[in-house]
Amino acid sequence: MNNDILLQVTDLHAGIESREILRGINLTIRPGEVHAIMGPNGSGKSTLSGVLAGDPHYHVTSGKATFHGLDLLSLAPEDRSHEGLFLSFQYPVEIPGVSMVNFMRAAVNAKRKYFNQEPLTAGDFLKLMRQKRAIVELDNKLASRSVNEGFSGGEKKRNEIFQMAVLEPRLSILDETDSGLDIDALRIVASGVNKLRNENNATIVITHYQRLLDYIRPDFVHILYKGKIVYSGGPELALELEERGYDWIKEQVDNQ
Amino acid sequence: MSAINQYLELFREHASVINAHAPAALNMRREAAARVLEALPRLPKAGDEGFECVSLEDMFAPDYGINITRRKFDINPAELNGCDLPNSGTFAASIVNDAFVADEKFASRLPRGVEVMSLIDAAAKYPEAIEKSVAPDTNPIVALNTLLVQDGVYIRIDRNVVVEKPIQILSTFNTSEPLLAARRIIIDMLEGAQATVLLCDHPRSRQADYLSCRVVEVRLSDNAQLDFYDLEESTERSRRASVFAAEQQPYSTLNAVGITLSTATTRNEFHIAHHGPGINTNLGGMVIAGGNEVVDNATYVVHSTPRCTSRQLFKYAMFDHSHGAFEGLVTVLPQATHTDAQQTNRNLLASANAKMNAMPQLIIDCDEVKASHGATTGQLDEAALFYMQQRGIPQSEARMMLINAFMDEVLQRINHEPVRERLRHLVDRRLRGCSAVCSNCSIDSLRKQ
Repeated sequence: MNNDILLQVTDLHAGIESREILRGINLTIRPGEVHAIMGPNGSGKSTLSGVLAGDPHYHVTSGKATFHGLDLLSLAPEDRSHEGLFLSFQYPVEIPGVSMVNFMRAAVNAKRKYFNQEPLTAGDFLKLMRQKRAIVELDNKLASRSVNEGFSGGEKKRNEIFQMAVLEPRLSILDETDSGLDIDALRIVASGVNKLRNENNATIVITHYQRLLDYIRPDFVHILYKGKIVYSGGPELALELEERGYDWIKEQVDNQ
Repeated sequence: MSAINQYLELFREHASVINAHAPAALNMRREAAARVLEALPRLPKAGDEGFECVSLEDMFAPDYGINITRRKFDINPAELNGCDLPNSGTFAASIVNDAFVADEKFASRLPRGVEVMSLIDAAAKYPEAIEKSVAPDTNPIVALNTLLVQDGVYIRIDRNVVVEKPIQILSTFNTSEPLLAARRIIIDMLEGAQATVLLCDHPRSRQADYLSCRVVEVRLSDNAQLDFYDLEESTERSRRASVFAAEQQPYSTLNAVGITLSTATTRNEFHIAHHGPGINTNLGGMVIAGGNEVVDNATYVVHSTPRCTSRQLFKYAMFDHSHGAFEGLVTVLPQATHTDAQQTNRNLLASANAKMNAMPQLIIDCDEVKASHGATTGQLDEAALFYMQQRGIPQSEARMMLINAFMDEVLQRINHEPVRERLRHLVDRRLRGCSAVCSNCSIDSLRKQ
């Protein structure tokens, strides 16, 4: 780990239409770290990931997010992606008629263009796909299908991690990646994430349950409740939540 | 005063000139067409029944010239090769302004049993084929065409002849004066014949305003199959009123796909009549419109015989201030038992100012049928757009990919693979706003975003 800051979120307020959901988020993430963000339903976990990725449904009312020196919130979603932010969607979107191959080629070459690089040759691109598919044991036959169309729940999530492997982000946000996964699929997905970890990138794992954290060991655990991080701790906090549920946190916060 | 009058006056004053430059097989029907037009108070306007967005009255109102004396125009050979579909792999001929044009070796290149010639030649060789028409006589576009038409193309595929290479007819305008061209294309598919016919409308010149008043007549004999692809890629100074009329005999198959990539105003009608059992009719349509383009497709499929199938799929992507309409009418008559009819119209409105009118209609007078229709108009899937952007695909590129994907279903209906791939490329190019036809017909709203 080093002391550079990869993502610094400062007093972030955001919402959807006129409803405020995030009410002052502060978060500091350094390269090499894994942060888990846990919290009861409706606490703002998905809003946080959406806001960081630039989902136009949400709007930021105040606060800042600095991503390796850049004003993250001023960037278009595609530029956030190029700069190394990756969101693994809770519900990966099906795109009928757009093949996985064309989708990935467009993504890879858009990033290369952003960094003034030539597009990959067909051969190099296919080689890259093959290499990265192996990381999450993704079947080759899915490559010729439309994006996520007709994929099982497990295939969709593996497909997310496959895309993450291809794009090599500096910061990955895994939004409820464990939802809808059986134990085998969970293991494959988690092992894929672990293979991609290194000292230069960081991961935010958003999850409701402790389960995924058995496989992806966090360095920090944050509890999000009513749009604020109300509690931060080490990996032991996740275990405590698993045992005691969220009620004690809610009580503590609500009684303040 | 209706726009009709100038054409009737022209006919009344110059019938002898018109007739002198056209074959008897065409001349013999003009008087009846004139009576049809005389009985009309005016041509249909936008808002009339079955005319949701195109006004024929406005389309025919300007004083276009009509080349009734059959003056020959200079033909720049480059223009004839200017089609965006590869004509190396086709048997290609042209309609320049109002006349059939083919190089001298064209006829000798055609395989045995395949004839492609001017209507004037066809009237001498096959007068009965030109005399009897399958186009609806009382239709105003047909009547105007019949009143004025002097030439066109006749395609005849002999019994059991299967033509692999597409027959391609490129229509173009190149006059410096405004021109109305009445064009008629007649396709005779004899028993068991199979062919692919490709019509490409490319009025490349934007020197003047052009109007193509076009009638395509198709006769499909027993067991014949025609794959008919109609590409319109013209300019903001070109208008088109087109009637495609097909008469199908038992067990024949018609696959017709119409694609409009650019125009000023276009009205396409498809009239399909069945004469016997086991007939297949597949109609496909694609419209990509931007600027102030107005594009209308109207289909009239009449199921009058048992055990026939019809499929219709029309898709529109509307940008800027464009206006589109689809009017589809499927009629199932009492005797048409075991009919299987399906009609689908799907539209994307890619701009807040674009407009679409969808009028799908079924009239069923028979109990033992399967018939369905549906129309949807919506916007691009926002969730898919964001997903693609999150992966780094710029929004404009993501939009294009989604529209291409949306249109793919129509392209899939094109059986001839090289033609399909070429059309796919043209669609993509159109969406990228770099049509070779006109430098400024790019889709503004797609570019800006």
